[in-house]
Amino acid sequence: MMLLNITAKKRDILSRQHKQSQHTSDDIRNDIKINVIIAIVLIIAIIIFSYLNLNRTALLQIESPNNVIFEKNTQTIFLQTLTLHQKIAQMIITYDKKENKKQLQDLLIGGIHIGAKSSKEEFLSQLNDYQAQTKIPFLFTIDLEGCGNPFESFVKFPAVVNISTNEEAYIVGYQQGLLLKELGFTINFAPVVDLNDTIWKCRSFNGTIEEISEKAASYIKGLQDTGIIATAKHFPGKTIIANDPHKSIVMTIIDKDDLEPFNYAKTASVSAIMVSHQITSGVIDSNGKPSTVSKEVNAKIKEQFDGLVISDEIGMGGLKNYYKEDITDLYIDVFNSGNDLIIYFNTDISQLVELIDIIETAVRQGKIHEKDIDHSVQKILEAKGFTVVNNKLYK
Amino acid sequence: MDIILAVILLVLIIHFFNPQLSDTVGYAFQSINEEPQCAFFNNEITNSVPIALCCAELQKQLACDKSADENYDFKCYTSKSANYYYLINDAAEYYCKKEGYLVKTA
Repeated sequence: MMLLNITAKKRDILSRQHKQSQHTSDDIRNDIKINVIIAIVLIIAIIIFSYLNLNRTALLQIESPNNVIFEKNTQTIFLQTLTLHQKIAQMIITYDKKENKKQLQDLLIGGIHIGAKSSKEEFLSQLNDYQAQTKIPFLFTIDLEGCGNPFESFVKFPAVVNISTNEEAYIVGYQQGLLLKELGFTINFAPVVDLNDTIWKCRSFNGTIEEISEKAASYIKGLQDTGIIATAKHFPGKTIIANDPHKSIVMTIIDKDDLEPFNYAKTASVSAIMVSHQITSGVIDSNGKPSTVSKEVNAKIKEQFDGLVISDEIGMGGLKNYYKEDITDLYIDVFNSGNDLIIYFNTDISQLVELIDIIETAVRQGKIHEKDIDHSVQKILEAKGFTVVNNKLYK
Repeated sequence: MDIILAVILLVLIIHFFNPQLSDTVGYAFQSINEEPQCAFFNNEITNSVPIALCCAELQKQLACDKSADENYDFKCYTSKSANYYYLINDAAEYYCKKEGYLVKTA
């Protein structure tokens, strides 16, 4: 009997143990199932976000610009076949980044600034690659100022501070122009016509105000005789005098002498003038604003000048810090102050598109007149060699 | 394992929204007392260049190598044999990159 009881008890214990272990096994199986499901969900989410991160710029759906109409035989372009977005893009010069080529072509960005490369072949290859299959040719711009030389790897030029005569200035301008033309460039952001260079000590011509002005004018003539656009910079002057290196917002007083080289440049038919970010007073008063965004300064440039007005690079501290974090106001003011071309070195396509979107919205809200956009774009397209037809009637 | 996956996912989500680090956080990775320094070397003369002008100039250079000058961390040039070039410290490199400029350090 006892034996039976013991066996029954054992059976009970075993049965309970079996049930417990079954229950534990079930728990373990359930835990594993849940963990597997969580792991699968996380892996799928990781794959999705990895894809989105890798293709962030691909999310910007930029259509090919098949809407633009122009006649190849006469090189005539119909301005109003460009969308507002495309017209604004034409006013922007961005920086060379070959991964952006397709998007820059599709956006119809106006120009690309090129820096130093290691060989002549690399310049030729890169510029040709950009220009191939683009609907509207890019402006290719460079800083061949006669100090830091982006072609240093294969050709040397004298620093402008060492140029002693007007004839030499013309020859240097002409030789540089021939090289730029050969490589496919359109605009040289030179000469620097600030009177005194205390920072680099090589970017300015030397001599009296008159000598500096005459050499700069000779250089401009030499360069432009090859078909390259020269740029007198940086209006209204005094941009390369040493200041506190920690300060970004620079204030300076402009006197009559500072403007003399610009007057000579205008007489020499310079095709472009670049504006600085300095806040100026004196004979050119920017009314407490950086010159780039001052309508007053822009109006002064356009006295006896109908060429291209180009803003200095808008990512620079001298402009950004004035606006603190308000990028929208910065962008609107740069476009609204009368600049024809805006230099923007940021190579992030999404930020480039954001800039264009902000300006497009500002035009639609009436903060910027589309007529002013069209006027600038017409000048840019003419600089590219087009005859521009604009049938729009403005209100 | 799930925790590791969750952390990876969190990083990807944050990166997707492209957060901007504040100056303070950025400088935590640099010497806190280090100011951005930029100079232009011109045939034996070295002159300080305002950082507001320097970054755009650096983007146009061919490359930046480690500097032999003990006062600076990088030498940025249009060609290795050029007599003119820029000298910058780590803080300047960091500052310019944070501002969106391409600085071609190794």
